[in-house]
Amino acid sequence: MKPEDDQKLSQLLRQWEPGTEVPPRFRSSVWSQIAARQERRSFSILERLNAFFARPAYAGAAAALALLMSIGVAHQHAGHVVSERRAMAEGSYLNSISPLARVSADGATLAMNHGHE
Amino acid sequence: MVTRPSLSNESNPSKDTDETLMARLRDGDELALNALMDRWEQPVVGFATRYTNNRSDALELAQETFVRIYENRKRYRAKGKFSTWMFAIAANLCKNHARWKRRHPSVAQVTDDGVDVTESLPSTGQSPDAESVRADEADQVRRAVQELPHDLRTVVLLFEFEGLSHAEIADVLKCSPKAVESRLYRARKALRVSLGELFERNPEG
Repeated sequence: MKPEDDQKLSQLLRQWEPGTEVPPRFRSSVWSQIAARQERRSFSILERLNAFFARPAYAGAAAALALLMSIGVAHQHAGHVVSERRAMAEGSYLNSISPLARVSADGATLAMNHGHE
Repeated sequence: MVTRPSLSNESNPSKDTDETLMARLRDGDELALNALMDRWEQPVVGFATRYTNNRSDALELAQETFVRIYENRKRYRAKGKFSTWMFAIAANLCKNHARWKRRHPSVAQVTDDGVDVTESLPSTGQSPDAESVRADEADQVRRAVQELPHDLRTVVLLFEFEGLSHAEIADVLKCSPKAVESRLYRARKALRVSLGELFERNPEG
């Protein structure tokens, strides 16, 4: 195709001038859509959560997971409490049978450690 | 929640480049979107009107383009020109819209006023006969452009009506300038064939 043909075609194409004027409400409509979409987006997160928990299977799975997690946390906490109480009980037992027993026991342990060195 | 833009005296939006305005929009100055709309709403509406041949759809797509610009303001990187990024958004929206229309052909192709865009040609002050001939020619051009596939149509609209260069169109379509050149060649060839007699009888520019 020759360059003058391109020019001729361009001229012909430019005869097509559809009404492209922008209505005055154009800009306000853009801002309304932006606002509406942001509102909808923040709402839809709640909606999605609602929809998730509305399904019995998912709700059951979430409850089971929460239960397992709480059992795990409780188990860990209970182990800690039990070992603390056991140490306290041992101490009070030693004190009850002989107030010096614990001190001498500690001294013996120290002597043994020195001997090994 | 969006806060409506308020007037600010910090800078003059009309003097800022598009890229500066986008940077300001990204940093929370929402007045910058109004400045961008001032500059670009007409070309985007023009592009969408020619692409869809439906004024009401074109206005919706143009509005959607600016909504997407706002929503993606943080992702915008000022490497290329803002206008090519904007036309890429508009072209994609038009393409998706055309695909949707093809799947839903029962929706009427009229404007919001119930008038087809071909009927709303601006008056040139010529005689009714000359106006009628001109309207008929414009209608043939419209139909010929509408028959082009998306890639060719987009290239023709951006080159002939929006004045973008080959390199800029390549940025819009994510292809090489050579590919744009080739598409423009094919589009012109197809248009010459479909405009046939009209092209031959049209005086040389």
